[in-house]
Amino acid sequence: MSAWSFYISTLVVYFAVDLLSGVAINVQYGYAGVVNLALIVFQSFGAYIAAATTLGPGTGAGAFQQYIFGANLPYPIPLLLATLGGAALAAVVGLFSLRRMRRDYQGAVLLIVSLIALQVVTGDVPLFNGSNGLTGVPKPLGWLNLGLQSYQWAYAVWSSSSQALSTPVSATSRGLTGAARCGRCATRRTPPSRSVSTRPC
Amino acid sequence: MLDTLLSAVVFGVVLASIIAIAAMGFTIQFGLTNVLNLAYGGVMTIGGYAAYLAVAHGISAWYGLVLGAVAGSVVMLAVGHGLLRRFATRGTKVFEMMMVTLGLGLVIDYSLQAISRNNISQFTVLQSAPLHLGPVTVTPTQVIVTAIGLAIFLGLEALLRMTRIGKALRAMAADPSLARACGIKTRRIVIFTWLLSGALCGLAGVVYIINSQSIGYSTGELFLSLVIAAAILGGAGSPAGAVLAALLMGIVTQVVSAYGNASYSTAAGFGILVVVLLSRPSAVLTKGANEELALS
Repeated sequence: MSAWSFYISTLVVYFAVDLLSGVAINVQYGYAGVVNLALIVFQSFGAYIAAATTLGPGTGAGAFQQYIFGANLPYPIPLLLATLGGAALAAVVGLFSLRRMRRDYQGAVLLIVSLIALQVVTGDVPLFNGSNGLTGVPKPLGWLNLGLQSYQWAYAVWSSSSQALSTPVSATSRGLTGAARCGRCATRRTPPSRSVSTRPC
Repeated sequence: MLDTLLSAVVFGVVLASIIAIAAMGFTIQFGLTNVLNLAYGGVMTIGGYAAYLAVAHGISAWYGLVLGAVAGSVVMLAVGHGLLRRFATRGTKVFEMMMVTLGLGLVIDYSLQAISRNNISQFTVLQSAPLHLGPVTVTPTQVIVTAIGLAIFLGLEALLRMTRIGKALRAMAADPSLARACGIKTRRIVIFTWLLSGALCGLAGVVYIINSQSIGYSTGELFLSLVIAAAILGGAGSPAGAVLAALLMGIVTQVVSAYGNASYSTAAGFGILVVVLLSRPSAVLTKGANEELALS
């Protein structure tokens, strides 16, 4: 029974995480028509920020893992920093990738961004421990002092409820991009589509 | 100090030759068919493996080059004419076609991973004593790689400008329906383009592994970002532009590698595309006026 409980709670956590990134790509692709093949870069950047701000000071060369920054901040500050970091990275990448260009060009440019990010992270080991990744990241709900199983379920509930946060975000973007769409489509040949989630403008 | 720079530039030209061979094939294919083919890296790896198998069976590396090109063109024809054309006739558009090639590239890559059992194999051919050209030391392999790149560029330019089929290819890249109206057999031109770009792709795969002396299932995929960046930077359908972009990116990559952090060298090469997109987007982006696929 406990194996099932562990299995299902793990699936729920993954489901919530993927749902959150799914909302992100739906806002980008569905509302704004941006083909973001580099979505995972922003997701991993947030994860790396959360890790580097909770793992404590990096112990330098010779330690079992090395990373930059290294702080020991309490939750939810790392989550906020991760969110801001993802947004900041998106602003930088958007500077050159959100030009008026063909969608397959844009997809290719963003795909290149993700390949380059992969090469930088795996090549520059002191940055985020290279291809081994970072382990031992403190648990956000560690203060609850729960056992393994109960923690899984607590985390599953918590990560699913963070979905509630994303609903106003997507509602706002729908309004914003709806306004922007009217301006943008006037200058494009493709007519605006009614079903925004399946056929982006 | 100056010697380091000179070596870095020479190595950059060698790297550029490899990028250029692949980017010339990519840009011809992209310029004519409008398919942004992300399976290109996978076909490059197939070409590399064809040469690897040939050499492993005792065939000369020179024939390996030819075999790699043949394997590349056969696979590319199967991909383009056998598969992508069917998607196009069912109404697949430019962006969806890119996603098809992305998936196809993954299928090729992971099939190669399964077949090669995730091994990275050594490929040491055409090795002999290094040559000392003043302050710069180069290996004969690097000279061969650069010579192949130059020969391919000159040959391709001659083909496109002097032969009938080359002129027809350029005409069709400029305007498919007008070319058809002029009596050009566009279907043949498309097949010829798949074969030609496939041959360049396979050849680039072989040349790449000759230079890096190893081959693995992800060889082409990791190299593809530079190739696409060079092709986009040089303008779709322009081999000369692709060569120029490849030279720029190759030299920047090697200079950054020599003076700075090697893990950022590829990122720096790509940085050129970013700078151009930021400063002169029209140079890159006006090329895509025509958004129709041309596959038959």
